[in-house]
Amino acid sequence: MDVEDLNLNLSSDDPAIGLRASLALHRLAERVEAHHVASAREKGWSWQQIGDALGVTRQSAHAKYSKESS
Amino acid sequence: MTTESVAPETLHAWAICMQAAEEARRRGDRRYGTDHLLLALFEDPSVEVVLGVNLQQARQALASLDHEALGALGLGPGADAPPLPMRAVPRKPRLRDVAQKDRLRITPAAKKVLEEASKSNRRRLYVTAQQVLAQILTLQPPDAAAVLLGALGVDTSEVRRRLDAVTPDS
Repeated sequence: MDVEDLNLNLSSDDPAIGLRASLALHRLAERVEAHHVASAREKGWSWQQIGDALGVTRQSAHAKYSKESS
Repeated sequence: MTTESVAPETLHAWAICMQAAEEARRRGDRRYGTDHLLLALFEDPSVEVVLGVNLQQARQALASLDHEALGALGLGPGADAPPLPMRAVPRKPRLRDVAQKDRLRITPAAKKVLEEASKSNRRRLYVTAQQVLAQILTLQPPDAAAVLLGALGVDTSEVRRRLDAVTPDS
């Protein structure tokens, strides 16, 4: 898939599909993030490093993910 | 999941909310909506009978809808990540359970469904799965729960008829 394809696909004019796709992307991104935070913790990354990688403070990274990966 | 065969008559609204929020957390949502409320209702075993589908089928249908929508953007089946772990939900939640700092918020549509479902109850915090389901059945696409019921091939008028047969006066 190249950029032209994506543009073509984004211009699909059914909002029902398009809006659902947007939400599905959000969900996918959250799952990808959570899984990789968990694997980073397993590999010994600190919350500081995870926060730096995600562009948030170590406190926010810890607050959001400490329960899942404890 | 409990092993008891007889469903409790009423559910605590907070328990429904927390269960719905965990269904949302599982998918990676930051809010829980009418579709997640519907999934939470499967805690009452009679819902599976009335709808003719089970929780696994409903979750699978939501995943398929996501795949379909992502496919429309040109993202193939490889664009996926496994579901996230859910947390245990107490049967009778206390304030400290629902007031967690990292709780997910409810969508306006889901809030309205719960409010309407318990409107006629003396105790607003207690509601039956049937009351909530009856409200969900009134929703139309593009509402998330209505889209889900459509994807599952559930005949809403038939379900409403079965609900009326179970609860004649509500």
